[in-house]
Amino acid sequence: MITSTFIQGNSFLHKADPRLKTSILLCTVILFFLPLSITAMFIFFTGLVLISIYSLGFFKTLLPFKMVLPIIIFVIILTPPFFKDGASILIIKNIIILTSEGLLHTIRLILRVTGITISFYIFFSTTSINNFILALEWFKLPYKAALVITIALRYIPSMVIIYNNIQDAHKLRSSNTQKIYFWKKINNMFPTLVSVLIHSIKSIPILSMALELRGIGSATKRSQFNIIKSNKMILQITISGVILLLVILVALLI
Amino acid sequence: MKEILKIENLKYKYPSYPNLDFPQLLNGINLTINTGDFIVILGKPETGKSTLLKIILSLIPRYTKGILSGKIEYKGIPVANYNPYDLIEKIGAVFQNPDEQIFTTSCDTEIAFALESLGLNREEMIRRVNKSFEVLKIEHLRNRNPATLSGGEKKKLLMACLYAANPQIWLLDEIIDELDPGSALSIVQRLIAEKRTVILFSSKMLNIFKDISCNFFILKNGILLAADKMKNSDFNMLMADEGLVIDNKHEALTPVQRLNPERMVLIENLKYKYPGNIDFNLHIDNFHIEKGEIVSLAGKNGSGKSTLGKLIAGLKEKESGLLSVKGKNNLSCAYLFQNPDYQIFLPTVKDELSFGLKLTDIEIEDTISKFKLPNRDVPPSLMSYGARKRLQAAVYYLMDRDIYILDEADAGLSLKDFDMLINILYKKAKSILIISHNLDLCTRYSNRVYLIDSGKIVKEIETDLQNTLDTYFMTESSNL
Repeated sequence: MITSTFIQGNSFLHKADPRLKTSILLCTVILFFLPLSITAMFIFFTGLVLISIYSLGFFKTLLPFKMVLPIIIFVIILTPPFFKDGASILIIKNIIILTSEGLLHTIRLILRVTGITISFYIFFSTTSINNFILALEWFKLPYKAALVITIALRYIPSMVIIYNNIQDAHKLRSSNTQKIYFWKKINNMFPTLVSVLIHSIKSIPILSMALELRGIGSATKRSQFNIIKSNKMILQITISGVILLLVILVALLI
Repeated sequence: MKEILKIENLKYKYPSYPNLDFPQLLNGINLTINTGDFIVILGKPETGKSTLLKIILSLIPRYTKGILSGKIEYKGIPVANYNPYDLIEKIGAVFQNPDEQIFTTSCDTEIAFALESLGLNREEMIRRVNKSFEVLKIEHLRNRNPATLSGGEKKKLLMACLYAANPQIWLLDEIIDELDPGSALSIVQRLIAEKRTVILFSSKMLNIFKDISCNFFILKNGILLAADKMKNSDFNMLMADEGLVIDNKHEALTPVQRLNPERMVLIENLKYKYPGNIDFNLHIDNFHIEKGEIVSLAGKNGSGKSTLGKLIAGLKEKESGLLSVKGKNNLSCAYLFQNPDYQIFLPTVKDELSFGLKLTDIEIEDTISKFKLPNRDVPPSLMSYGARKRLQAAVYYLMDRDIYILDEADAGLSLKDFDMLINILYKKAKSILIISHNLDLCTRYSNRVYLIDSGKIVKEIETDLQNTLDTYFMTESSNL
């Protein structure tokens, strides 16, 4: 639920200009895809975690780790078998399970996935959806595209709410109080998903009606209610630019 | 007063599909509205009220196809000549389901959306948005995400959207259903005082309408019958025939034996914290339901009624405190959601009724007849809204639950149908909890009423229910 991840606060990240945060988010994602050394990646990752703890608190910083845990488990299981170079670290019954190369790649992938997740988490926890949309519009994203994103962000949590309601409703009809196993749970999801799908399809024409009634489609040029309030943009850009440049230089040198 | 809207011989029929032929829904509607008129159109569910609203807004047949004939003119110009987006300042509407109309992620942006479409300057938009928040008394919701609001709060938000856009005609579809009585009366009185032109659609004759000056119409068999063109006694009889009002006391209600009461639900010092950033928590000091009781839970919008109901049903996890539900743990409660479609997902009525149960054909036929359902092979998704609600209740009826929680279960049902449901369920249940804004329902069926406000039980009413509730909500209304 992206819309509910915004956490009210007064940290420097909350106050920072959303256009700047959007640019830095993009740079951060690119950095995690650069062929950096493990050390540089680790320092960079640690820096992000510290920023998150400072801005959002320790317990809230744990949330993205929880979200990404299943992916980390898959990475740990599936990555090592593809790398046979380097010194053998774990051998079971003459079969090489883990090599130094496999270990490095696994750590690199975990840092990359977790780093990108935590970057987005920090961004959406400190940036309201309205400000995010305004930043996208400032980057010349057409209004209709921005509207589609807003509606998507509005309807994803709605669908989650509908899904939970339907699941609750189905739970109340169940006559089985026994522990439900994984495959049974997966099987039980189908009626819920069918109901959510029917709800969603039914809502399409009604949403179109509501949009038209509020003026979408009209030739009149839209004005703007929300504006980005930032009178220290130049200062913020300069400081952030210098910090980002230093980070990249250090990362490439290590 | 000047004529603003004229409807002449309006007829409409939804398009037919293979094996599904819809009857003629509107069959010659005639209506003339002058500026400042406040009109209430009553009609049992599925009589075409929402369809009429959407035709006036030029949305039907634009989106649904079907056969439309007759004339609708706004200030002498056919509304069909307008696109819906040209009507912002002419005709505005609040739909029955508020979720269908909200599409932004903060309340102030939601109100400003139509103003942005009008191209107003920012200062004017800020002025109108602030005024709307002030008039609807929802300033505290300014930065909230609409998805996190209660049903009534969403309706107030949509009313605020209309207030900001300031259309000439306001179309309000079942607006009262989810509003607490104080807010509803306050809003209606304000609309009348400001001489706004309003058409309010409702499936029940509510007490609130008796206190205001307005023109009543009943939509029956596709035509509008004006109250002022018939005798008072005929109008009352017609309302009773259509199930828009019930006068006699609920026959199933009997005094509870208190000599040796058995507590079905007992709550002490219960706390529940809402997830996310919502600055609102539930804290119930004392609450109980005894065997044989029908208890109502009433309160303002967003006061925590549904949350308490879901905690009792085991759909939410408490944070701390005592919550004891007698019976078979999580299988002792039936929770009837306001939206029946959440609980219906199988291809036929028979499949729905027999899901997880071993029923004989006789039991199925008996249930179908008891709940006035169509035949066993009909797909529920093609049944009317009211029939789907009756099916939802029938499913729980067959499951033998001890406690029935009816959350705004009267919405979309005629009073006659609601009366039928509660009569059948009461004979089977050990206790019933009614969650409703409709004070008439609360007092009509309940032994006791709990009043909840800001997540706390503020009053337990055992005697003189009607007067105590009226006084409470009218005091709240005067505070608005």
